[in-house]
Amino acid sequence: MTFGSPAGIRHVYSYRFLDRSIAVPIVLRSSATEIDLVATIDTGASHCIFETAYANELNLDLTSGVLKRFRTTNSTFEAFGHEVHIEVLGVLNYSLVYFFAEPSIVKNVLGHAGWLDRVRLGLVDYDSLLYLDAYDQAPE
Amino acid sequence: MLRTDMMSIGMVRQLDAVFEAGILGPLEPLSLNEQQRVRLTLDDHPSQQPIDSLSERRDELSWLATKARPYAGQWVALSGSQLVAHGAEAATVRAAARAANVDRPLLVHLPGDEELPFGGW
Repeated sequence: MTFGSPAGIRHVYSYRFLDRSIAVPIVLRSSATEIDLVATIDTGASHCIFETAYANELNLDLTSGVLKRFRTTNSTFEAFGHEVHIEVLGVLNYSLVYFFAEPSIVKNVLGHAGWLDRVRLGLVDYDSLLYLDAYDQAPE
Repeated sequence: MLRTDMMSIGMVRQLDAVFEAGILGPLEPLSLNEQQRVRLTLDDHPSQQPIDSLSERRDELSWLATKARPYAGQWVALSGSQLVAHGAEAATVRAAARAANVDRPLLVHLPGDEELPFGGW
């Protein structure tokens, strides 16, 4: 069965699984600095959270950001929020994202607030296909 | 998207076009005769667009999927299918990539080899 582009979404991407997660290349920008990395799409994550080192590479003063405590299934962690540009497969947003306070955490996720709530996203996991468009881009 | 009706031979085809400086230009070659008249129907939502190669990072993700294991736990800087630099610190690896004239490597921290599957938050 062939699945057509849902709701007129224009970008289609054949994704790979890395670390058993749906991985996409992204760009974070702050002022004139940009960093290219890989993040996983996590529809269960409330926010976008990235490794501490990427804040450093963006020349952000990590601890000057908005401190927020997050819970997981069996623990909590802290992260600092900073406003950055997020570009995912050509779709650009300006969002408050978080960077782990603990530098040893190796995890980069695109979650709900700041990303999922600003895009049109479709997944056909059986075919490893991801459909993506900006929310303010009118569907076909 | 642009829909053209070739009136002389009754053929209908669709193609994408871009409007620049007052001129509508097709994004693919058109085999039309000089002065041939066509009928246009405009749809201002273009068809599904390819993602540019820098955004896709297809070669880098292929490397990560197939060749990353020996570098578990390290930071790697990738450019296309090439491993440009690797090491324990992101800043050092990025600096090494720049020294190799790679301004925008894909900078990735590989999980440790012993990591279990991520079970969600």
